[in-house]
Amino acid sequence: MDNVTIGAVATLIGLFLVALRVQIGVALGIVSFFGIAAILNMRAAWGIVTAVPFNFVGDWNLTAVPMFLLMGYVAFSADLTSSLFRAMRILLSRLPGGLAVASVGACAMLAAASGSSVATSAAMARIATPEMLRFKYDPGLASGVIASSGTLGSLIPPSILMVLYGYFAEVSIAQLFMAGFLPGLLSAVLFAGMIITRATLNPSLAPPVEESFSREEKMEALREVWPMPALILGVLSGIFLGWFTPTEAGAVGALLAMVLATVRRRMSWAVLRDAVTRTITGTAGIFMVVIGTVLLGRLMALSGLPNALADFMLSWGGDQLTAILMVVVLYLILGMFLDSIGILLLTLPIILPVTQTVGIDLIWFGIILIKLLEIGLVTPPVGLNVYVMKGALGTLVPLPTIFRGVGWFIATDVVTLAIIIAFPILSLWLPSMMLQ
Amino acid sequence: MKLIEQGLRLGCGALAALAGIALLLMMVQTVLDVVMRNFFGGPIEGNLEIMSIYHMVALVFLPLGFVEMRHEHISVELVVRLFPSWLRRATEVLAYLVAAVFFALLTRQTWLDAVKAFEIGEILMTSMLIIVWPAKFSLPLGFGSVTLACLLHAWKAGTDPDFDPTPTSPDASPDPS
Repeated sequence: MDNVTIGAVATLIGLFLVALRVQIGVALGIVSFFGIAAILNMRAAWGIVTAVPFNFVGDWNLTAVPMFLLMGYVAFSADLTSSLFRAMRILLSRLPGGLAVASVGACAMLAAASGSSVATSAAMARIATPEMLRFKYDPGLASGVIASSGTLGSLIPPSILMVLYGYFAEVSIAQLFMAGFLPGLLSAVLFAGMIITRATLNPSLAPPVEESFSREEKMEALREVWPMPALILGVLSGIFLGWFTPTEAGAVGALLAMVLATVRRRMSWAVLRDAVTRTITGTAGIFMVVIGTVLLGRLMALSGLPNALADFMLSWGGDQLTAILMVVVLYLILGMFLDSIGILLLTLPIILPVTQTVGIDLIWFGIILIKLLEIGLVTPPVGLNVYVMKGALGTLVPLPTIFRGVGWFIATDVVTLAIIIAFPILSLWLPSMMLQ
Repeated sequence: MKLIEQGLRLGCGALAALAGIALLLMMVQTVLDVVMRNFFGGPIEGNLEIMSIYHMVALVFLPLGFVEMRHEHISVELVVRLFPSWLRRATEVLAYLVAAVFFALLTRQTWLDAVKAFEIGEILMTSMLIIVWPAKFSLPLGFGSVTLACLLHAWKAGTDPDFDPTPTSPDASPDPS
């Protein structure tokens, strides 16, 4: 067997093990070990599995991952988040489909601050969906909007997926953060526009809500809601103004979240303990996959498989758009079976060398990948966020109804994706401002 | 078996608590660094290295067993869910054994590596000297604990028909306190 074949066979066996429910990190690690042994020798394989975990994890840049996780979990555990929906509702209830539009806004902000799509959807499912059902909203809309809007946080900074992508693609995380802002905003605006249009055309989907709020209630809502926007703005402006790096921003954000929770009198030993437990669990889980990916990356480099793939694509004509479209298809398929961090880390060692050969801007490409990962979170049959919704809602809305409701949002997301691909300037304008 | 499980749970919990302390220290030291740089002209010497080598390594590796006890390692269930129940249990046992073998190999290798680092007194030379070897013992501790946890789960998946290997299962956190 030549090296390229060894690389391809090892990758396929790895995927097979993943399908058999072997932990992703273990599956990738073990096939990489034997693949490297087959290409070089056992000694080299032992050397690499011994050196990689310590040398790789002991890297300052990656501390951003646990820090951003901590920031999000503190905000959730201290319940800084539940008032967002109420405030958005008071401000937006007059619009057609107002409660659903309010959900988009609250989800976007929550997901941005927490960096977790799953946690956002789980929390909002309990707060917003029952309210919408009470006002006779279509159950598909009431559940679909939460499952879909929860994904918005991957593009709106700060985002853990961006930290990981930036690390592997060796591009500036600060620039990625800025690049994601407008596409993320566009996604949210298009969601809202789609809801308003549908609710106007067919009012039975979202009957008008007869609610009026006094001036005091509006002011009260604003007072309740400030901590989350303050958290996001504090972190982003600090990066933008150069007070701290994106890596440090996570730690500043986590401390800021604790301070805000204390100011709101929501901080306690139990909150801290809960947030820390979730953070270390999430961190160790993510990094096991990361270590498997790094090992797979070594195998890929040794086998030459990515170069062979790149040559193959170039022989096909190999322009940028073809390469991007192939990645779109690959991600949409993988998105049906794997969660977003898994897909990103699994594919990067293979597709990054390919994109470099074709000469695609890596910042723009990162934004496309992350938008694809957002879509993958709600596509059947796996659509992680949909199952999270189902888990949070219990018997309130059946699973096929949630998938049906999500369909409209997937269609909207496809439009957003096309716009991101057609107009790179949308992603690249803010980062270019930052350099000057 | 019950006793082994409780002991393992306790041990994994203690390692996770150490990781939690590393996490909070990392936050505090990073913020201190930012404050020092912006207001007092320079970061703290060696701070970054300490955080990378000690805190980050402890935070990632020490809780591995704890995460396995809670069934929160990242895996894909979709295909297995389609299997008949006997085949599903067989693949579960197999998946745990594959993981146990991999982690056992890593435990052995990282242990030898840590001992070697201890014997030569491995240090990192930056602006100051930092002793590296104690951090290296985090790896065999974490990998060892996750090896044992995987073996326990292989045993439970093989013997207990009600065993549920998902984060929501009662097995993940029998004591919700």
